[in-house]
Amino acid sequence: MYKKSIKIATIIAASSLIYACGGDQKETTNEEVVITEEVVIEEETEQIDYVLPSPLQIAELFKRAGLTYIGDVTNSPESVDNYNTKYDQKLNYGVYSADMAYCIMNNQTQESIDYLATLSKLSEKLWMTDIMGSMGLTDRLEANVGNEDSLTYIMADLQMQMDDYLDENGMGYTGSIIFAGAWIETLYLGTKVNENEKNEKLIGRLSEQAVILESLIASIKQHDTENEYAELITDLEGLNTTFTGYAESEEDFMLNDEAVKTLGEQIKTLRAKIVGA
Amino acid sequence: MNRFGIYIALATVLVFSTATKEKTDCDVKILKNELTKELRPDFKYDSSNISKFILSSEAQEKEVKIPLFSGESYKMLFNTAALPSNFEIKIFDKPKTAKNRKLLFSVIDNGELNDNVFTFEPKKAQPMYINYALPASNESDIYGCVVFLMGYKIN
Repeated sequence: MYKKSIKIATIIAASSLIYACGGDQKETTNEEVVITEEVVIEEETEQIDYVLPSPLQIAELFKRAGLTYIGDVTNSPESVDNYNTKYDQKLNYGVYSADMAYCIMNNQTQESIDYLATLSKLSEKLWMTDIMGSMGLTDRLEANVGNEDSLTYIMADLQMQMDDYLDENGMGYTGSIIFAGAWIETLYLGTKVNENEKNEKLIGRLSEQAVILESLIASIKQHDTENEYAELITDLEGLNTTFTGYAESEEDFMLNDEAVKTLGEQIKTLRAKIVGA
Repeated sequence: MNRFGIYIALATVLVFSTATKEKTDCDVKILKNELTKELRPDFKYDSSNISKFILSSEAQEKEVKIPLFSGESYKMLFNTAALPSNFEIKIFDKPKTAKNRKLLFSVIDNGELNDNVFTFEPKKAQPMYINYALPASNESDIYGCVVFLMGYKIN
């Protein structure tokens, strides 16, 4: 993070007037008192901002690559009462967002509404109630049952509202953690479906998550000034070993079968830690 | 109060009034709303980034990394209404630490631009790096922001 702190030279101008006692002539003297402090520029590392994609976009990419619906693999809405720390709440807000997207895109209407209710509950705990309430989401979801296209636009609107809320309240770091939960859940669903039936397109999408992983780790590290997320960062860095060989310049990077299996196991372990399974 | 006290009070008011920062209006919500209109009907909102600046006696740069997924379509939008003039926005295919990076898009404001909203739809989706640059300035205490917003379309 690049911060530049500069102690600015301070100039205090004071006017003073001197009057001669009992005399007809008045002399005025303006004195400027300049107090300067040394200018110190503390050079820190260059700052790069890392934009993370929306979980909805990743979910749509995976769906288009063949992510089919498997029942009972998503995180149970009833588990929401188990998440009592902000850490768990933020991560699982992401998890449930990914689950809701998964259900919406596979026309699982009741499940989608259940996840929306779960997200409302969690958003209250995270003091983000305004987002859910202001959009009339339940009514909009119910009104667009079966219309996947409209439903994904509604979810995109929700993402925008959430980003606006986090920006306005200086909570950008929360967005990275929520995204981490959603990203891990989407990879979990992707690797689960691929385990059932190998799908090269899905493997391609799993492979290109290497670029997201780098940005995600960097983004969390930037904001983790109090080492609150050290364990999560370590776990995410562990995933990096599976993406060995990835380079941004390489367009056709593809995980081999062994790497896909390893990724699946790592994601399953990490996801279990987050959802408490 | 004698005259000496009056003049001290006036001087104090003068000092504090000149210490007030002058700013451009960085109303993020309004700036973003102008951009989201440009997404419909084909693109869905994906992500956004706000970059804030304070003019100083040193030139400033900032880099923003954007991950894009291959084969998909994206629309990148910038709202510079709240940015002091004489800025540059460039998009490259590699970070500034890399050699031989390719310039994919640029907006250079020399104070004569009439528009505030700029659009870029990449021909090829790949990770991209936005570079913002503001030159050194004799002015100080002026700050502003640029809003970046991106939409996607699954092909």
